[in-house]
Amino acid sequence: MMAFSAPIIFLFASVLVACVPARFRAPILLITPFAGLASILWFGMGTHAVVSVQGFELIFYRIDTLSFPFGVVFCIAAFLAGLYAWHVRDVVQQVATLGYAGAALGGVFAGDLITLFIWWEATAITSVFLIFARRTPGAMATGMRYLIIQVLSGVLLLAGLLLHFYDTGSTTFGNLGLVSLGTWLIFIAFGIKCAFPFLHNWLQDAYPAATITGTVVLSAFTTKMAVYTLARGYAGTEVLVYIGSVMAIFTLFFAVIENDLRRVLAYSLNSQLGFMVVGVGIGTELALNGTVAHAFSSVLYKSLLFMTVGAVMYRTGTSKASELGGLYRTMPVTMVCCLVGAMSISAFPLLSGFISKSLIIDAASKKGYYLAWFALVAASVGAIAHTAIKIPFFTFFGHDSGKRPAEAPRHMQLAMVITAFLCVFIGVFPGTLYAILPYSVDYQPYTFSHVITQMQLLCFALLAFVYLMKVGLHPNQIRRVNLDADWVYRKAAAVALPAIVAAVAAVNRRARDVAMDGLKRSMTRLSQFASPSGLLADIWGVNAMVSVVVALMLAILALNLF
Amino acid sequence: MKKSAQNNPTNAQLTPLARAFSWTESSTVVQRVIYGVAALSALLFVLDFLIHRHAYAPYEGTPGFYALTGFLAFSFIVLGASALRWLIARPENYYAPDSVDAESYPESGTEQIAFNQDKAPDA
Repeated sequence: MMAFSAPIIFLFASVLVACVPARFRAPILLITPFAGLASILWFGMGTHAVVSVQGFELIFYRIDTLSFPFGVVFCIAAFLAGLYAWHVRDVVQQVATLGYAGAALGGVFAGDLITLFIWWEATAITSVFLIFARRTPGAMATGMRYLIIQVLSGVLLLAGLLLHFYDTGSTTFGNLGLVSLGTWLIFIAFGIKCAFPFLHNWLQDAYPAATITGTVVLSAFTTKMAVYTLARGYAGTEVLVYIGSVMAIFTLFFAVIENDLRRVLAYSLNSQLGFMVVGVGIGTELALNGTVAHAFSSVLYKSLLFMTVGAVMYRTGTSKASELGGLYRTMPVTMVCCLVGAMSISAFPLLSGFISKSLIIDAASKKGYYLAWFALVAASVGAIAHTAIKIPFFTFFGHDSGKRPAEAPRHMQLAMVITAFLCVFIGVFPGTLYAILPYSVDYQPYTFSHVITQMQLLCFALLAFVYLMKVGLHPNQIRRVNLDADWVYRKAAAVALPAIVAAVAAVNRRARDVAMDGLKRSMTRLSQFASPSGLLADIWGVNAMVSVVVALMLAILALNLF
Repeated sequence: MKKSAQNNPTNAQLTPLARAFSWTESSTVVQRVIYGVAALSALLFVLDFLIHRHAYAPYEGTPGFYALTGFLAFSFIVLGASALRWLIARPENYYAPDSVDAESYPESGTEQIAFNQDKAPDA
């Protein structure tokens, strides 16, 4: 049974890709997601592929209403990424793509914490090769940073699950809640992969360092798997409402001033994750439906945006906003797809973001989380600023860079058009997405209030953009990097390291000096005893000897009393 | 894209889809579009006073709430970010050589061809 589960199909395909001649590899990348999807539908709802190991029940294939939509969208994303990467001949990336997608599916379908841990680490180990595949010194260093943080998350998960097992005697992965040290550790492990504030830097560090096609793959899986695990384990945990609000807001500022468009998208992805985390924190049926719906639509429009920026990079060699502009002339298809992605993320009516985001925002205001509600409304405006306007404007319009690259290759265009179509389709027919959400949906996104308030937000944000451009207050795009919290471990720790090493060495030397000193003194003492005139070498009288023996025997007797 | 200097296609060479967007280069048309957006915004703003919306959060029902939020939040985020940049911007090679910021993307992973050259024999 287990051999036909979707994650194993992907893993098998990834091994197969490594063995077959080059011309079969890209087709395998395209076919595998269909096989995975077929497996999910064929097995249907229920708990399958249960293996008993040493008394532990390992559940490899739990398909229920919560894991199902994630499994479906992962298969769709894997197909689109495979199509987009049709030209790639690098077998490392092809193996990593399938292995990574399989591991992410495995994580989503894992029914117990041990299985989850296995897949959790597998996503880290497989995905890092999409960064290494760039094969530059910078990418190698970035990949190592990424791997260290991802594996750290796995180690925390392992520690947490052991403590949790010790506490409860169960490894089942259900609702955990923040009730013990174990569940806290698991929470932090999930938080790292979900890019909580101050645990987020791996995302913005690594995604722009991956290959063009690799970033599209990366954007879909790890973070959404983490959202799924949070929804499974910590639904209704109130602190998530505040964590999510902070996530949604603080990333906006970094995204607005970032020059590398793939890093802009990484920050904007982080902000969108904030919406989903708020939804998990609220924990009502409406909110959890919103989280799953938003994860689903955000996988699609984020993939689309990464694809369009990647296509520009494929043709021009750069994704820096300062080097781009005016590309609409020769890359119109890419431009239109980018606009669809931009309108989706800014929740334009009739596009996917509109019908998923409003579920979470409404859930927040209905449950009385007004601060979080306002944070999400503001973050929606922020998405218009940093992604919806900035990326298309500075890439395809705005200042003409003079670059006249050819349109993206056919297969990239096809991948982008299909993704754009899905964004529109979900937006126009929200019922298709609502039908596969965890709880039954009694929600009408296209009410007069919703449409008009969203249009007001959009239009007035656009006016603000025009105004700020006119008066010259909109930040221009310059070649700079911006510091973030990762400065602490990338710079401060590096600078402090020699001092720390020196301090540790000094303490070590001092301790050794003290120890050696003590040793020397006791040696002298001993030699005094044993010297010809010392106590031990002296001739003792019978009385003294007997006294010592009696004292020793008394001591032994006394010890035996206890 | 070194070749692009002598490769500046005229409007007629562009695909119809690209031509459909060439209005973005005319400042008078852009001006007109901006006026259009402004007019739409004004209409939406007025509509807010005439029609009762559903509202759950405090002040959400106040007419003009979303319009004002859109404008002010956008301005605050962009201006706040500009101020932040003054504090945190560093040269591109700040983290070099351990980051990709100052590196160029390896050319072997791209196919940098200019417009109308994509019918090259190897493509």
